[in-house]
Amino acid sequence: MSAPALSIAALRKSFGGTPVLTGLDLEVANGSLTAVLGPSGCGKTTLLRLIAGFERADAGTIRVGERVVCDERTYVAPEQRGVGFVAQEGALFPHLDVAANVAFGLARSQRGSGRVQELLELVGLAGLAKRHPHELSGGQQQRVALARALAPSPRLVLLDEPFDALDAGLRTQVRAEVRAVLRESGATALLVTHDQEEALSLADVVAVMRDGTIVQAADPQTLYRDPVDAELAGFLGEAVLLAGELHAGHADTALGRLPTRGANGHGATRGSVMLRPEQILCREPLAGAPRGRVLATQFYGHDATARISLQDPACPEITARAAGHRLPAVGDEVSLVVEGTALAYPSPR
Amino acid sequence: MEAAGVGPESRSWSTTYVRARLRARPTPLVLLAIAAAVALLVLLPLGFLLDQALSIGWTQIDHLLFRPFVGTLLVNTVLLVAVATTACVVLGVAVAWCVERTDLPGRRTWAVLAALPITVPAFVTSYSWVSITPIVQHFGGAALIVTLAYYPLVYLPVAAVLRGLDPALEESARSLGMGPWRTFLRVTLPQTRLALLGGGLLVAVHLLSEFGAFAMLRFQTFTTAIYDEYRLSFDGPAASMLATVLVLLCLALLIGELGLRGRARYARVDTGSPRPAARARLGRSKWVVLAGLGALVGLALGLPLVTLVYWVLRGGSTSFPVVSLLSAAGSSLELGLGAALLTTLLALPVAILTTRHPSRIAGALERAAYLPYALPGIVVALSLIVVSVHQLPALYGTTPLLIVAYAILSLPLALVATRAALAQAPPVHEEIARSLGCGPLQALVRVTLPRILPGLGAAAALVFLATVTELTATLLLAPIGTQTLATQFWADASTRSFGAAAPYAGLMVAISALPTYLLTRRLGAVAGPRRAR
Repeated sequence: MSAPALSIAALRKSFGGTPVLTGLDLEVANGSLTAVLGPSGCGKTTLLRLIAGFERADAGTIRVGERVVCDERTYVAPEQRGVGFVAQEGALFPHLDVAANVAFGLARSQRGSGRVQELLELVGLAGLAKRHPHELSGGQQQRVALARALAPSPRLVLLDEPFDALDAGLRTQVRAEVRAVLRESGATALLVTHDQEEALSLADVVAVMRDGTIVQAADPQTLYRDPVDAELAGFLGEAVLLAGELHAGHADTALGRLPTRGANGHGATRGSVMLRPEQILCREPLAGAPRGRVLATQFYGHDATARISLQDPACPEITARAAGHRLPAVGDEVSLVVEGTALAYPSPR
Repeated sequence: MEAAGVGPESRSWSTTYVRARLRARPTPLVLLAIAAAVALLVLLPLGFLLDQALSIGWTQIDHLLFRPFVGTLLVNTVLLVAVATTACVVLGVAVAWCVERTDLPGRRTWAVLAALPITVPAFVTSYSWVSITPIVQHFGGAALIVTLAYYPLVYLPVAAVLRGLDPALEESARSLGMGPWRTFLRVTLPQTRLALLGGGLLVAVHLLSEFGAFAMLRFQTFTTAIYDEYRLSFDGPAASMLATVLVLLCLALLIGELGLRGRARYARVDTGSPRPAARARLGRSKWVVLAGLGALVGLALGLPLVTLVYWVLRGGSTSFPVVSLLSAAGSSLELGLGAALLTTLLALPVAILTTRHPSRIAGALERAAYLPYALPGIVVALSLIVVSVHQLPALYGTTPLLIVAYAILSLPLALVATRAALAQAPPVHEEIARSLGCGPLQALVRVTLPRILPGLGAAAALVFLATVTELTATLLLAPIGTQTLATQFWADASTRSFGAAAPYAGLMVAISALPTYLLTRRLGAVAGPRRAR
C-alpha cells in the first residue's frame, strides 16, 4: 500500500486572532475524488490554500504523498509541492492563449511534446488552442484551468468551488465533464464546495467541515444515512427528528415503535431518532398506525413533500416525501408508515 | 499629473477578508529589505540635511532663523501660497463645472484646452510674461502667473469627479425644493471635496517648491532664498536651515490637509454613473462663459506659446544654436529616460510589498516613499549635496547623483501608477503560477509583469515628464558641462536673452507633449465615462 496522496494532522490556522482551522485531520486516498463540504466561511478555502502552500499553517502537519510539506519546522514553497490548483473563476492568464496557459507549468523541453494537445483533447477543447481566455465560455475556462493544473502531472489537484461561478444550467454539465476528466487522468483531487448535492453526487468521499474541523468523512451514502449528529443530518438533506425513548434495537416515538441502528444503549435512555422524509409514507387511514393531518404540500414534479401535524402534542410536525402522483391533499387525514430503520442519537447526559 | 491617482480601484480585490489572508502570507524578506532600502534612500539625505542644520548650535540657529529677512520670506511665501491656492481652487472648480455640467458649446475642445497649460512649466510661463513686460515682477503678478500655471491641478480631479457623479443626488436635492445654486453648494460641491482638497494641496506643495517662476519674477520666497544662500556659501548651514523651515511648512500643509479631509471619505465617487447627469442650460450667459474661458486659455496657454514662437522667430534672425540645442536635448532625453527607468524600478518592489504583503511595516515604508510628494526639489537637491560632499565625495557632481535626485522626487508619481496597476492584477494568478512550479520571481516575470506593463509605462512616462521639465535640482546637481534644455533655457532667460532662451523652452514643451498625450489617452480611457459597456 502506498501512502495516501494527502494526509493532514491537527492543522491549525487563525487570522488576526480569529481561529479558522482548529485541529483539522483529513486523509485523501490515491486516485480518489474527495469533497470538503461546509457552509460559506467555514474555512474550506483556507484549508486549500494551506495545502497549496499559499499560506503557512500555525500548527499541524501536511503530507503530500510521503513528503512532509508543512509542519513546525518545514515550509515547502508552493512551486515545490507538486500540488495543482484550480481557482474559483478559473483565473486563466489573460495575456496567454489556451495552449500557452496549459503549457505554463511544463518544462521548456516538454512544451512541444504533444502533452498540451493531449490535455486539450482530454478536456474536449482540442480545437480552441489558439483562443484567448476572454473568447471562452465560463465552462470552457474551467476546463482549460483544469487542463493547466493537470499538465505537470501533480500528485494532487485542488479545486476551489470550481463550479460556483457558472450558471445553474451549465453547472451540472461541467461537473460531469470535470469528474470524467479526473477519472480518466487518474488524478487525485480534493474539491471544496458548499453545495451538498454537488458533494454527494460527485465525490467518492465527502468530508464535512464545521467550526474548523472535519466532523465526518465517509462515502456519500454512508454519510447521508448515518450522519454523526443531528445538525449534520440536517445539513446534508432534510431530516425528521423525533424525541423518544431509546432501547436496544428500537425506540418508542410519536410514530410508534421504530427499529433503530447505531448507539444501542443498555436499558432505556432519552434521546432522539432521525428519519429521512422519504422513509415516511403517507397511507389511507389504517387502524393502529399513527395518524396525522396534512398541513401543507410542496410539489416538485417527480416528487413532493407534505408537512403533517401529528395528534401527539410532544411532536407537532413532521415532513414526509411522496411520489408526485400520490400526493395527499391539504386537510386529508393520513396514516404514517416508516420504512427501514431510524438512526438513534442518545441525549448527552 | 496627479491624475494618475484617479484610476478606479473598483475592480480591486481588497475586501477585509482577503486583506487578512494576504497579511497572513509569509512576507519575503528580500522584498522587505529592498523596500526598506528605497525608503532609506528617501529619508537618509533628509536626515543629513537636518543634522547639518542643527549641528551649528542653538545660538547660531537663533541668529540665522530669527531675523527680519526670514520673517519677510515667511510672509511672502505663506501669503502667496494662500492667495494663489485659493484662486486656483475657485478657477479650477468654475472651469470644471462649466465644462462638465453645462451645455457650453464645444465642451470637449474646452476640456482639453483647459488642461493643457499643465504642459508648460511655470518657469516658462513667467519667462514669457517677463519678456513682454517687467510690471508683473511683484506679488500680484506672481500670484496671477502661478495661478494660470497651476489651476489645472484642481480642474482635472474635480472635473473627473463631476463627470462620474450620480445624477440622482442632484435630482433628489432639486425635488426636495432646493434651487440650482443651493444644490450646487450643498450637494454637488461637497461631493468634490476630496478632489478639491487633493488638488489644492498639490497646488500649495508646487507653490512651496516653485523656484524658477519666482526667480524669474524676482519675487523672494524660501526657495529663491535657499538658492541664493547656496550660491553665496556653497554647502553652508544657512541654506540647510532655510530648507528645514521649508520642510516644516510642507509638513504643516500635509497635516492641515489631513485634518480638513476629516471623514470626507464618503465622497469617494469613482464608479462612474449609469447615465449622464442633466446639464445646466447657460442660455445667454454662455457668451460670458465663452469669453471667460477664451481669456483664460489665451492667457495661460496662448500667451506663453505665442511668445515662445515670437522669440524663436526673432532669435532665428541671428544664429540658431543647432549644436547646443541638440546636445541639451540629448542630455534631457538621457536623464529623463534614466530617471524613468530607475524610478520605476524603485517603485515596483515597494508597490508589490504594499499590495501583496500589507502590514504595518509595509505601510510605514510606503508612507516614507510618498514623502517626496511634499518635498521641494531644492530641498532634495541640497540634502543630496550634503550627503555626497560629506559621505560620498566620489558621487558629488556626477550624473548618477542627479538621476537619484530625480528618482527621489518622482517616486510618488511612479508609486501611484504602479500600485494602481498591481491592485487591478489579481494575486490569484501569481498563486496559480506558483502551484505550477514557478518561483516567486519567475511568477512575477511570467504572469504579473505582462499584466502591469501599461501601468509601468504610465509610471515611466510620468517620471520622464517631470524630469524633462525639472529645473531646480538640475541647476544644483548637474555635472559641470552638462546642460539640459531646462538649464540652458534658464541660463539665457535669467540674463534676459529672451530670444536665445526660446528654442530650448520650445523643444522642452514639444518633448514633454508626447508622454502627456499618451498619458491623457490612457487616463481618458480609465477615468472617462464607461457608459459604453
